[in-house]
Amino acid sequence: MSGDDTRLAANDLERWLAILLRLGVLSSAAVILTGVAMSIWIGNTGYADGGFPHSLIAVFNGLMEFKPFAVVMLGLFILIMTPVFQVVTCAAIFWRLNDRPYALLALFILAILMISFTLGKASG
Amino acid sequence: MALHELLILATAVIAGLLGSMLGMGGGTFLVPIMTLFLGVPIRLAIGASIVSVIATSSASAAKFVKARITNIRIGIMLETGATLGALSGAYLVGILHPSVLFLIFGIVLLISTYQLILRRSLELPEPVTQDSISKRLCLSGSYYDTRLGFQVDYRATGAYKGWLVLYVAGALSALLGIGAGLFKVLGMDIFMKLPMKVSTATSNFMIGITAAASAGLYFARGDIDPAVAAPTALGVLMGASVGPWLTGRMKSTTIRTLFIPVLVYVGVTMMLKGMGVLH
Repeated sequence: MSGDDTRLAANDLERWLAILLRLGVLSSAAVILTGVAMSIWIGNTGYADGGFPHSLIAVFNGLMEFKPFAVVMLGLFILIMTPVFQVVTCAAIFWRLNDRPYALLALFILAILMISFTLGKASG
Repeated sequence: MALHELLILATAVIAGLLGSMLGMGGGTFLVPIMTLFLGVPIRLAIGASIVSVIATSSASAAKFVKARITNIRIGIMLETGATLGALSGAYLVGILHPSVLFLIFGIVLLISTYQLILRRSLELPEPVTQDSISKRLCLSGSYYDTRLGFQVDYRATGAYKGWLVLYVAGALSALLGIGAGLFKVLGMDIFMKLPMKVSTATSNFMIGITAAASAGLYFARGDIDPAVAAPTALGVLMGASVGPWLTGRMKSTTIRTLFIPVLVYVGVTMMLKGMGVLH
């Protein structure tokens, strides 16, 4: 890793990561707030007895019916996915800069994350 | 019901502020307060906490990354350990008794606090000779310390030890639903000899990723309740927005002084819980 390359790498990587992180946080907050506003406006959460969707399919169905808590869950899901995109960005940029070791490390992390999500679906 | 949500929101704002300033996810404060004082069932508290960890991590990481204090390579390298730990932790959930965890957590925290106290006067770590793997992975960097007013070059070492600490941190994160940022910061600070601000910033960068590894599980199990998780996430985001700005204006030694009473409180609480003294 030459000095110039590393500096360019640093700029690129850090710039994109900062953008992604901000985007993830802001969009999830906006969606969550929308869901909360909806629940206040409508006067209920769209689910009886304090229930809420906890699978992607259930969230999708709830969204189709404009249920406030489904919107909130979507926002929470976006938040959960933000770190995943964080890692994808790292892998992509390291790869583009021919920093193979770190690109592979990032891909390794991605694999672990995917495994954990799949396990989650299996037990959920 | 609205009052309950507002209380959760207020708690979350404070947790977010403290958390982002100390390189933690704030979950370490959130779970005890929500379960002990706000009557939230522990599984929902942990689920909301995991979400808040991601919120804090992402919100403040953006600013640290932009300010080029975060060492992304060290973060990625250590995160391989933490996510593996998170998987192991999730697996261990069925096997280990929670009190054992609380006890271990508390003991390790108190030991780390003692070490921190010893290092309190060190503004910057001493110059370091790197071990071979740290050299090979180029675990070094540089950042501009606004409070000290000059560029700080640093080299890390102790990559194996750091990785192991991160593995444990990841396992704890999955087991307790916290960010375990404390472990990460201390691991980097003590074992890898990184400057405090770099440890904090890099920890912020990492804890969200580790939390995502267990968040999927909690989401599917129905432990993420919008009524709890939404005010938590929003509150933590608000608090965490202010944190990095405050951290940049303070000396590393001041940050450490803040850290110590927090650690003692959390360590003692955890131990008491583990020994069955606290509910």
